[in-house]
Amino acid sequence: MSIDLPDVADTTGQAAALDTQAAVEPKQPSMVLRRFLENRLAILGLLLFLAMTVFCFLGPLVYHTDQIHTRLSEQTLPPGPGHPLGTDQVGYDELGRLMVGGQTSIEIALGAALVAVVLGVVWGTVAGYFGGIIDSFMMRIVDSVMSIPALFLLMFLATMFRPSVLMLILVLGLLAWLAPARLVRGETLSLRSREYVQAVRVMGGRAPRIILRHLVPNVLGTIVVNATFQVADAILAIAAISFLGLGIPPPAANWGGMLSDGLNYTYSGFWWLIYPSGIAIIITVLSFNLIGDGLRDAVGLRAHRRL
Amino acid sequence: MLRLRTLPLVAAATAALVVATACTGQHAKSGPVGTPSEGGTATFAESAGSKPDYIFPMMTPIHQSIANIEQFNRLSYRSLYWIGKDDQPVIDPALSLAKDAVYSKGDTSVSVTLNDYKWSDGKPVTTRDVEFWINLFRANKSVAAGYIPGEFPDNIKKFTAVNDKTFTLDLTGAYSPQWFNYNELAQIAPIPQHVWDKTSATSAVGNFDRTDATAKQVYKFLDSQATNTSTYGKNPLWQTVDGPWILSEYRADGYSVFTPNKAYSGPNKPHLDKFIEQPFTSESTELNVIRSGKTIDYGYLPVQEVSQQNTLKNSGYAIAPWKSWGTNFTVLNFNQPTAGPLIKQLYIRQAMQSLVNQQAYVNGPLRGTGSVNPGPIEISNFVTSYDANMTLPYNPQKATSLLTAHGWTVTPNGTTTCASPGTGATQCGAGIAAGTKLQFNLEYSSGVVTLDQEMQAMKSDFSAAGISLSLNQAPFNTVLADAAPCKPGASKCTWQIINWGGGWIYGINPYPSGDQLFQSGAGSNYGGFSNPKSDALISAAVHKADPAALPAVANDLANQVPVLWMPSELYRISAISNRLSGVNTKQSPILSLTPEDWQITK
Repeated sequence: MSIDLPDVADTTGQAAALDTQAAVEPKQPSMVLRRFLENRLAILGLLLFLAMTVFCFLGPLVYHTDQIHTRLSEQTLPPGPGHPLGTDQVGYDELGRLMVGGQTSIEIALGAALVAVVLGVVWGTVAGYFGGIIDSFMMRIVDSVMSIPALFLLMFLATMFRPSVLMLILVLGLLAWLAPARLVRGETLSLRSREYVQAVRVMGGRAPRIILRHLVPNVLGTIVVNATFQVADAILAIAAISFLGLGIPPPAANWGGMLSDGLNYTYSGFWWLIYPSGIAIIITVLSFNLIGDGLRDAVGLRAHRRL
Repeated sequence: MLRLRTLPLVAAATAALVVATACTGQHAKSGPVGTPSEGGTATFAESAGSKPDYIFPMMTPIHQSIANIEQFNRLSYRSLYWIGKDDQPVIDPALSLAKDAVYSKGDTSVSVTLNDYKWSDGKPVTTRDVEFWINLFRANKSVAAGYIPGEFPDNIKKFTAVNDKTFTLDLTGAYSPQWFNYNELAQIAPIPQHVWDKTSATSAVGNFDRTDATAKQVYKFLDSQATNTSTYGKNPLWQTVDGPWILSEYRADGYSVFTPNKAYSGPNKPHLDKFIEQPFTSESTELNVIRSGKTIDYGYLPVQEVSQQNTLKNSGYAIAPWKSWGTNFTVLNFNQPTAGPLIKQLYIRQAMQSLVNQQAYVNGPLRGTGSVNPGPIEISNFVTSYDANMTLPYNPQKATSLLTAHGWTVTPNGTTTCASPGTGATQCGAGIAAGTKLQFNLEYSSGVVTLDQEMQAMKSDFSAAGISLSLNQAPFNTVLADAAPCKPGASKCTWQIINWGGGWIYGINPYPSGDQLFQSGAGSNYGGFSNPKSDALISAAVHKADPAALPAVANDLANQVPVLWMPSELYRISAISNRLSGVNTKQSPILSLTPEDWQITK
């Protein structure tokens, strides 16, 4: 069987047409959105996340507190007039601190997830598309880094560098990109043998075009689902390193650090130093997990229908 | 003649009263239950985040800690004079290696006779072992934490071993016998010359210490062995001791197991089979362990959980506040290239001190268990009061005035900047350019809740005058290592302000003349403070037994602010298991341990 190759000028035009077709066809966002909205738990997750975001970012505009200056004379006051959730160990209003701490936690978590996903997608698609030695080499690097305990690396880096929001975003992101890289690489291995990819290649489409226009859009579902879990994981990671005293130094706050500080008073019965931040972490992590589950189901259903 | 035995007692009684009030008046009310027995294991809780990691009893500044000296070294290596009798910082002759020192020739010569002690291998402790320590110290004084230019060993004109038990030191001048006993002789810890005087693990023992060049090699060898902590417990060097305990096991986290020195020739032979020191990363972890059972026999109740004392009492623990003899401070680095020019300005240091709200720290983080500390010497019989004109209590307005008067544009809650550079009386000072910001990095130990809260409050209070502090926490041993003194002009000097927690215990220099901490060039002068007038006052306190000398030092240093003075605080609120008898609840003011006195009750 022989194939008649079109001339070069034609090839470019057809590849572009295929780009459009491939980029549009698999997305079907309306179907994904409809299926997502049918999932009540996913909606609950979305609402919880929106509520926490509003609480953390808009709350301080309504509920004004000084989260810079300590007031030792007001330390560990129980909830009451003026301080609905009491005060913490250096006199900060606990409700206001919960808002400020939430901003940091959510910002770092979203930033770290973004870094992890971008890096993981680039790494995974390149490895999966080229295959062979390049794939082996790149994935062995992933395996090697994965074999190092993440918490150990986190602690090591946190002691080497002064913790800041940007530093934590980078460190958490650079530790979390391995899982999406593996997932994307697996999907890419499957996608690269699809007819439309083969066709673009035959028609002269270069690797960057194939990766960016044909492979990445088709792993988007996987990426989005994974990103939501990355956010949840990052919130827990921030909590863990803050718990170990390696979080962002005061007066900055984050929920993990607040929880860690509160645990020093476990036996004194200062519950308002422990429960609010603990519950905030649980709600936010739960919301992202519910959103992730909903997206996974929606994307999976779409794939099922396509088949 | 040991004049120090008549030393006025320090403020421990006052402090104990403060603590007793904070602890609802209970002082070790519960006690051991049952009959004391022989054998068994007792476990002591190390302070959170702090661990022993250096066994050789000649410290460099980065290893000089309570965990290393008082609660590790002294278990195995005893000094000529044991400081601490009950809770008083006085010499205890019963636990000292030497008899009373005898001064002559106008206090320019001192004669010391050793008691009959033996090393664990059966050889006697002799004047040769004392000479060995002196020779090693002399040859390596530049790295020794206890070295102070002009003092030991510079002030020893001649060492003479009269015989195996008696030696004489001829001094370069007259010294206060009180000071010399406490701050010089009590530092000397005889070490086994017949085992350690070699330059490598394979070399034969010789008299290498008697020439400086080879003494440096001996020190280098011993230091290398001491820093190799993985060999602790099995290295034969550290198995030869004159104290009651031999280190038999050590782990990297600081977990240490001591077993009795069967040949211990001192007065109190160990009763226990094992004495364990248990490390903890945080105070809450330690409290959790205490509450969970009986694995800790001698632990502590974190100050922030002081309300839990009755719970611990009901669990079989006696509660006993542990007060140290020392002073508390935050170290300022005069030699750091960026911060040094700022810190060298007296008015900036005084402004900073005026922003330290000590009383708020006492009432808040310390929950009333501390007291305001105006300077280097606690209120005691050494210094009964400070001159109010010399101290710098909390006064934000004064801080702002001082800065404004010296050409700074003060920006409360922002960062104050230098608007008038120059060296005039109303200008910022030498080395400070226009626009220089009044900002510092402050590193402090993690794992100690009260310290964390104090540092947060300090940052907050400093912002009132626009002094910006950037906080950073690290484990205790890291902070201590970072706090190594920098030489003037050193490029590799990064720390600016440091607080390792607890300040200074007058353990190896119980006479609080300030020479080890604040004299120019002193080995433990971490920040590099240097002031001729202060040096002169310190020198007077060192050389003359003048009652006015110490108050003069205290007032001068309170006003000079070589460090930021912080409130005095308890070392611990000890929780002592009722199954342990023999523990003196009047605990050592220099924080040493005597587990050889302890027994498990049945």
